[in-house]
Amino acid sequence: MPITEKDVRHIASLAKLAVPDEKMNMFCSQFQSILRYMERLNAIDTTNVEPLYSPFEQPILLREDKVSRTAEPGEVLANAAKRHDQFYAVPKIV
Amino acid sequence: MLTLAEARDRLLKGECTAVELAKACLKRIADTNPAVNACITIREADALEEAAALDKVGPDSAKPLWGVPVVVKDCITVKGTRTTCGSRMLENFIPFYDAFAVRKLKEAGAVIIAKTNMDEFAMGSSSETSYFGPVRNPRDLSRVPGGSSGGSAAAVAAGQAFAALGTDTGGSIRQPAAFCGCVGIKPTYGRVSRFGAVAYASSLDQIGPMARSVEDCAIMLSAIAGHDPKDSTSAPRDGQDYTASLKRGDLKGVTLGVPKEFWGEGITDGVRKTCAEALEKAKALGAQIIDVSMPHALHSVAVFYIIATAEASSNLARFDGVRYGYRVPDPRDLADLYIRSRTEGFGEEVRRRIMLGTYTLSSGFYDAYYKKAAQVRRLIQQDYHAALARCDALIAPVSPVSPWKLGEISDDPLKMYLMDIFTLSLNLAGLPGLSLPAGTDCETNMPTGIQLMGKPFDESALFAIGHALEGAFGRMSAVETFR
Repeated sequence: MPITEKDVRHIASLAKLAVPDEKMNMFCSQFQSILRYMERLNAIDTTNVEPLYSPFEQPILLREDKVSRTAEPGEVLANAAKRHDQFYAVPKIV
Repeated sequence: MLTLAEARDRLLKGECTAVELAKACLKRIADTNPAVNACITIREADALEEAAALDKVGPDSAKPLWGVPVVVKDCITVKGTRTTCGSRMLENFIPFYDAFAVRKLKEAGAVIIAKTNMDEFAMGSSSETSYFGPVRNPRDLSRVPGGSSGGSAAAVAAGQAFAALGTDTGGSIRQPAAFCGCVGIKPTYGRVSRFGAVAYASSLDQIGPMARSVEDCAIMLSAIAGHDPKDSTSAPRDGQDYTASLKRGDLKGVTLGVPKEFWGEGITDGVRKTCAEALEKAKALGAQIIDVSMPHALHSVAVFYIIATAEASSNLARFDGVRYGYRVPDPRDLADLYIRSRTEGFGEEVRRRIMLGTYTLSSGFYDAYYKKAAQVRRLIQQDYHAALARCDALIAPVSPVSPWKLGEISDDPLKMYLMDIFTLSLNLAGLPGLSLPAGTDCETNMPTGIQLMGKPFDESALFAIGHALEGAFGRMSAVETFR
């Protein structure tokens, strides 16, 4: 299936990315050839094959849900480009 | 140049101090880094302070890395030192915690002297996609060091440090080790905690060591392996002393499987010759060589780039310009903040992979791509288990080619992805793999690596076999003078 400019714009918007106009043709043709290569998997019979999503197939090991102090708020907030008191700051939403 | 084991012995005997050794490595970085660009951040003041603190207490033989200068790939957090992932996105990110593996290194007495350059977010096979510029191969500066842990491999090969931590999602420890003439091991999935490793593809990522000898890698892995409650996929088993497996010098009674799919078309004559000679040397050491087949292994490129990009598109959604990372200075609204921060903060290959993963996970395509790939992944794992039931380890080239020239294939992503054909399947199956130099490619005069692939949590067997092979192949020492 050909990958069109509309497809790339749709994917980019889902991924919260922008594609500059001058890169559009490049991304279209690269996605086209990469996806075409991936479609060779269709030739493999996977009837009744259980998908393997992780090599770690044991039940996820959960820790006790216990509150512990692992970091100070200031340490965590220090990497935010913009903050307000003890909060992350974002542009006005409503 | 000394190996890690030799350096540690000198330190313990008091023949040199931790500060002296750290200073020597920092000097080597100052002299060589302008040419190789292996290190992004040099921890000069911190490293010297930490080394001085060790010297003050004196050598401690209970600490297997006491005073040894090491470097850490820049996608693994070191508290208080910026961790960039080779990206503009994290150019100023300073983590407030150590990765589990880093904490273990520190507890073992290691001195972390620098953070190493890498493909941006570990997405690449040549270490050319870093925001901080490409890494060059110390054995030939016109060639790539491999990737994505190219900075770690180049630092070790250039003698900047005695060992490094890398990460391997689809070959990113084994292939740069091979390209730079180092030894590297990707442990079994779950053997080393991923806590503190910035996630690329969580079901594939694994931290592991790189060094100039098999023994040095065994010492490093012994220090960092073990269970960590902070990583829910960390195997609930204790660490172990892998150096205990380095006793033997021959391969009598050992069976090595040669998967024919890894020795077929596409391998250059130079790589094939070195690897074929390596097999002969294994035979001469007493190994029995058997042919095995892994019919689904060559589908690993398609499977890997579906699964890895899908996981990446999800993992990298966290970079929103709000909590950490690059943020555009003048967003119009929240959507604009997200879109422009991500578009300007990520490089082109990262954006390409996020978009590919977003596509294959998107409504209507999930079953055709992601689920299908996961099913073929199961078949690949079954191939490995069947092949490994007949032998102690599998043996194959690490890469079909020798290190290429910088810029040679960076415009063709699919061609670059295909370069990973011999390393990807191991990550899909979650198994351990050791890469070591087998010799020199007569066509390019560059190192050729061979990999041993083993059973789950049987790193000991890989070290034992690798150690014997290393005796026959010879070790590659650090580069003294660049060409």
